[in-house]
Amino acid sequence: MRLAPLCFLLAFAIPSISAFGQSPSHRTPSDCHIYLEFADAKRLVERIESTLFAKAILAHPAYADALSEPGLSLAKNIWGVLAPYLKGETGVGLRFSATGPAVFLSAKHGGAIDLEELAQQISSLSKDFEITKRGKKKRITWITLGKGGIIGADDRFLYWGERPSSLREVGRLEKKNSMGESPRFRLMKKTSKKADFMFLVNTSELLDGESFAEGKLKEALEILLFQGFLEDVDASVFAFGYGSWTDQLKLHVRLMNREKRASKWNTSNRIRTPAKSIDGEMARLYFDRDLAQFWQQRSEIIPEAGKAGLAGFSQTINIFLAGFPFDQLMARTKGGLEIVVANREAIEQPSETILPSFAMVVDTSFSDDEQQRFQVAFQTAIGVVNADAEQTRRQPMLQGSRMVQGVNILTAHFLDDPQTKRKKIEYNFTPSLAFANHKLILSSDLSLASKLVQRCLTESKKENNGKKVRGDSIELAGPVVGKMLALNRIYFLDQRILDAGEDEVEAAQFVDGLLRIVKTLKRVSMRHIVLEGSTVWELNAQTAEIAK
Amino acid sequence: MRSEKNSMSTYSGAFRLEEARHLLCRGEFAAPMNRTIDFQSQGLKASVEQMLGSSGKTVRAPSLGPRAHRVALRNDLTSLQGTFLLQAARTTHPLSFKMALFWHDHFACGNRKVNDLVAMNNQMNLFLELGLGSFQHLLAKVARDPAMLVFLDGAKSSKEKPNENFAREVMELFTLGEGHYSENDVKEAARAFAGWRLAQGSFYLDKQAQDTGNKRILGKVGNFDGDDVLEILVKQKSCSQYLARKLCFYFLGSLPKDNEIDDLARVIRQENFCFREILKRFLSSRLFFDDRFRVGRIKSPVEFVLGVLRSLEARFSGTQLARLCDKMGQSIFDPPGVDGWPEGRSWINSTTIVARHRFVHQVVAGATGPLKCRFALPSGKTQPTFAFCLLGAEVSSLEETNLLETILSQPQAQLG
Repeated sequence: MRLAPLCFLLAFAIPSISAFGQSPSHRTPSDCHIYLEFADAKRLVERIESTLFAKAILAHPAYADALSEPGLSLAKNIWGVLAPYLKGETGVGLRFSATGPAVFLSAKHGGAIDLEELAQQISSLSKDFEITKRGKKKRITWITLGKGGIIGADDRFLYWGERPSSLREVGRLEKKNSMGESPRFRLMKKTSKKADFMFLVNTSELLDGESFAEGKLKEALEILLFQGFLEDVDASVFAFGYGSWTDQLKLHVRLMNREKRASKWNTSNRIRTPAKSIDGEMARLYFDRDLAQFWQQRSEIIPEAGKAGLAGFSQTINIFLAGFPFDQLMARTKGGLEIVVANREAIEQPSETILPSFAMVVDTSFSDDEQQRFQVAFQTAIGVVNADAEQTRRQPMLQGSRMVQGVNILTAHFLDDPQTKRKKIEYNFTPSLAFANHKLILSSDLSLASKLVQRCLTESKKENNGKKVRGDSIELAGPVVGKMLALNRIYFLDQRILDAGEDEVEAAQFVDGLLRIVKTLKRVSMRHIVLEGSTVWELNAQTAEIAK
Repeated sequence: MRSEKNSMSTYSGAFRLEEARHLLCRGEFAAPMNRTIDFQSQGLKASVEQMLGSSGKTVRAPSLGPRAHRVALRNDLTSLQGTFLLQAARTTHPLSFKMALFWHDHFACGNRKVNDLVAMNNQMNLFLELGLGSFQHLLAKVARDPAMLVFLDGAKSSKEKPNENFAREVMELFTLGEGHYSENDVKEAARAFAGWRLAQGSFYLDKQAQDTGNKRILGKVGNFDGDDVLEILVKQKSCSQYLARKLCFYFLGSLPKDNEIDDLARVIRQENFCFREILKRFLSSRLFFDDRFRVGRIKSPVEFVLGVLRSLEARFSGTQLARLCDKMGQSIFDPPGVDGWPEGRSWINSTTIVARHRFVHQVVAGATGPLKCRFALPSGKTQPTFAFCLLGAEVSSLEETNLLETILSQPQAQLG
């Protein structure tokens, strides 16, 4: 029994000699659930760590808390030991089983390796890496570390996290059972040229029959928001992606489906001109959805419990529309739903929670009569809110309008009442509605509505110019978000003290650390495109300049 | 000199760890080990003075502060409850919080009807500020308190249509107790309170709505206004007896003999209804330390959670605490009715005992959970003392945290 580790290493090392000449993927078993490959892991991590963004994360108290978890702490220590040896191509495979995850690491150092010293350093980190055997044959040196072993030759080394089940398994590795020989890996490699890192996830084996998309309502919402992304994960065979981080992080993830899947309620990936940012814009979400189609098919996707609520909602809207059928209006929404979140222009009450303003922009083909019906519904809704003013002890809303470049914006604001102290909780709410260039604009704030009207009118003139995009997208402006969050610092402190039971100093460290992280993110954008047979996610994160 | 049989004479027995623990558990929610040892070493008199904050230094009355006000403005009841609980768990004046809860139960006002957390928060601050002062002063302030004026419809009363709600409760629940006033007294008192109004969240007197005619209340006749009525009520002997009964039930867990209640009522009158002085004598009395009233009082949910947190010097999520207290049957700022919360055995049933156990589990397991509840068990030698302070019983070792959890979930741990 005591010879078992040595036998395993001998069995493994000998057939692996020839594999040492190839890439790390040829030294990783193909049945790993996750495989990551780095062009130069050490340099990449150094580059990331030198950014203000990473420095802000590392300085946050939650990071120190996370490191108090033994598993993470061990991982950090292992990285500390291995990092100097990971200057060249590095591959990391992870295989999950009932006994826990097994790690397979293959790296090129670029210089001679003192395997004994490396083994001693790893061994000192945990009892699980106790050295039991050592051996050497020709150029190969091996040392057993707990359940696995480390093998080195020249400037390369392998860490094999579990013993192979048979000699045949090891022998076959370099031929057809290695990650490097897998067609999926080849597809990833072909797609991800010049990447700093790439990864492959065998989703179907990782999920092993488990479902991500469970519960009908959740599914319906999820389909509306993410076009069935979770369903895609369930149905996917594998996913791969690649990324780079020079002055910004660029990440491309592609989920490969078994079958071609029709996109759900999207506008067939309509090519569109991206909307221009407006002043003070914090975030913009664009959902490439055909709302008319979604509304038409609602009975098929909403569960029984939700249907009653939806019917009630439809009836209520019909009342607001003074009997005009809501279904008819929904059928006239052409698709493309945009949500804009912006900083407030004028903030009167710094002692209160300061919310950003929100707006929804929907493409429609409403006739003039339908637009007017919608405007009536808006005014009726304000009236209903006023009817409740006494009960909820707040000021009523006064309706009004503002003309912006020939477009009439309907709006309302709470009446001033110098005697009451309660107005402050209303967050400067000035709901507004406008139609500009066949776009319905519904905003929580008049100022934002005005800016969007101007933008919609400009867009119509510039259509077909500039770059084109498709799919869903999210864009986030870190400094603007950070500014808004900073205005609410006291609210976050209160909440942190209340929810986490921290004292003032601890809460301030947590909140201020978070604000620093957000502020170092210059701009983040993400796109989601449903293609035939695959789903693509692209992330682009621009952080503040690299710290000197 | 009082007779030796007077239950309110100063306790002269041994002041051991057991007595120090009893004093702290009843007066301050819990007996943290170090504070219990300190109390034992300094003796009864100095301990009571320290609890009351009357040992030399001028004590600034605690208040829930600006955070509670901000939370109240957001109309977030759970967060306001959490703010109160966290402050009570950390305060250096636990007796003020204990008395604030006493008055919150005595002058019960619920946000369900008041629907104004700013007013509820202000009322709690009133209890914290004046809870150890003069009862007459507190009563006068509470009668004008916006939350109370809404809760008992006082602000709707006029001379044409006097509202009897506040007038009835001020006699039945706040001062005299049932059977010490007549229906006619209620009607006449309601006339005296007519014209008390609320504007912009503050009290004002509407002289047009005031009833300036003569009223006959508890045998006295005159052109009484609301303040006169309150003065008449406090001067009744039954008022001091009613307050004595409530104090005994709150601090002792059950009612003593009638003559012992009379002794306390006499002290209340002698001290001119000043609760700092009343408590100084009551918490040092033979009655307070009588064996009949040791470790037999069922803690309310708020007392239980604060007791555990203060004993372990643990920290916890305030909002989570508020939700747990609600599950255990006590939602502060929102008592179930005009007569406050039912006390004693009614706190414990199959649902609430599970909620208490869940809380203990979360505290003990929280060190590794998402709540990050933190506390440190004392080292080996002091553990028996620590366990005694927790339970009032001997436990040899607390090495295992699951043992601590088992101990704190025992029926005995619900008593104080």
